[in-house]
Amino acid sequence: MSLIECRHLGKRYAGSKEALLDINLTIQRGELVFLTGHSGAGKSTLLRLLALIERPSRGSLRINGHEISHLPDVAIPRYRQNLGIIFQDHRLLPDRNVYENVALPLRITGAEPRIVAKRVRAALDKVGLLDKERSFPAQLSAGQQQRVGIARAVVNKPALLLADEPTGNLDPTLSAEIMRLFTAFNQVGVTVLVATHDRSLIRQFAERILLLRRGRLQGDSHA
Amino acid sequence: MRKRWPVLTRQGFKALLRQHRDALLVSLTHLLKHPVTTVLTLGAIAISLALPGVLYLLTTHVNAAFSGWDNRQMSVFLEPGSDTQAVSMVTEQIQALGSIARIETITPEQGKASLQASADLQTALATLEDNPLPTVLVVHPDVSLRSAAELESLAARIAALPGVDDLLLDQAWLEKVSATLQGFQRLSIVVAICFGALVILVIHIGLRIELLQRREEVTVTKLVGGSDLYMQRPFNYIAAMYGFLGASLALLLIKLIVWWLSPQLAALNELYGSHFQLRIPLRFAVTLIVATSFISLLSTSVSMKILLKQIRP
Ligand SMILES: Nc1ncnc2c1ncn2[C@@H]1O[C@H](COP(=O)(O)OP(=O)(O)OP(=O)(O)O)[C@@H](O)[C@H]1O
Ligand SMILES: [Mg+2]
Repeated sequence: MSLIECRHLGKRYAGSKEALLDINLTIQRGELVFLTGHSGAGKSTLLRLLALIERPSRGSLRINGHEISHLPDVAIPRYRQNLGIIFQDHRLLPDRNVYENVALPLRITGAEPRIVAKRVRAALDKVGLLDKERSFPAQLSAGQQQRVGIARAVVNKPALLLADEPTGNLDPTLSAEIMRLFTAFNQVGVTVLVATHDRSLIRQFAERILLLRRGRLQGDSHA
Repeated sequence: MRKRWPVLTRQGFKALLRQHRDALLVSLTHLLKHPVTTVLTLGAIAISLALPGVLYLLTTHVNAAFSGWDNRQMSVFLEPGSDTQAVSMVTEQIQALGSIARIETITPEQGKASLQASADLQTALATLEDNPLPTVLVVHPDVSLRSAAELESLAARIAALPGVDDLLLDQAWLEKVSATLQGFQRLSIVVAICFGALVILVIHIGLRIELLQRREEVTVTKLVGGSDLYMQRPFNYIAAMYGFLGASLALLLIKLIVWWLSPQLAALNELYGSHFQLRIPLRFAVTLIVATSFISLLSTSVSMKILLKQIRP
């Protein structure tokens, strides 16, 4: 069964024209997929639909075989606990240290402190920031902040990682570093969907590229 | 992604306990981190409860003090300067009218003495050279007299007797007092409701500001899978604590006000020969605390539901 399956998926924001139109696409478990296209093409919109931040206007969106476009509001938190979301501006909480930022998704579920500690350290270890757990976000560099954001996204061991311009604020070297983290997670079976305009990153890392143009899926190519 | 029914397993229960413990910790740190807000809020709640609370208690207690009073009795004022002979003549004449249980005589000296017991009146009396008080006969009708009409006709006949200057039917003014007290009691409830609504509004506005300041935290928490309930919990604890502590503080304030009023209450007791003591009944205290905590919790959780819905990632 495929992990993501869109059929005739469309999104139209209230009082705006179609942001996504008739998207048909299937992503298998374990794929690393790049989502690209000009500004306003609908990349973020597709990710927001997948995270149920927005609801589709039409068509069907199946995750793991389950239709989620009409998932009741109360079920959304549970659904998101199985996702890892990474943002361009990391969105760490400034008044909590690195450890607590990464622990947030586990605290929400009421996880045992022993398990929280184990998983947070494992996640920080993977992004190479084990020594920074007592630091606050403001004390970190941009690249480190983004890595903490990634640690937070993977701490729950999600099956699917969604990243919206994760390297948008970083220089090419740091961007490549972040991408290498994604490929590492991908190699252990996590499905990764990255939206980016960065052509050099795509050239370097892409296995599969989805090209959006004015809300339509224009290309779906394997590198 | 798999659909699961919310069955409360042992593990789930433990997780829930941990979530509650975390929420409690968050709320306690919040209260301690913002001592000024905490104290101001508690003060506002306490004052809003204490004022109607005192009003209510006072009226209930004064009412209780009067309820022991035989409201069918009447005070008959004799003409000034009536001598003992005149007094006993009037007494006999009243007795002859029938339906009389007993008659008490209050001589001017007794009246003055009882008034002198009240410190405030002492100075006023000291300025009077002569004793201006008339002899008063307190007439208690017997049980055969029930209706107001019968009482009034008896009163009219007594008032018409020679040697009688004036007559006061206690029932009439007691009813007035009782109606006034009831009015005050209603007023205290209205005041309580108004203040209560004000407190709820203040709490709601406070929550709104707090949530706006923590918008990013709320959004991120939602994005990583936090439910509205998860974010609401610390606020629920804060609300319950505000309610509990605010009501307790209000009880303390009420106690203080009652203590401050105690000389006046004692004077009232002496004037009316009653023995009531203004205490805060346990039921009143418990109701105040429980109701305040509950209302605070309920209004906060409704407010939070509305406010959290407005914050979307
Ligand atoms: N909340 C919104 N309300 C109305 N219209 C929106 C909203 N968000 C996005 N849009 C519109 O939907 C279209 C797709 O936007 P989207 O953000 O998905 O593009 P994008 O590919 O992520 O662009 P960028 O590369 O600039 O991030 C755009 O035309 C945009 O104006
Ligand atoms: Mg975008």
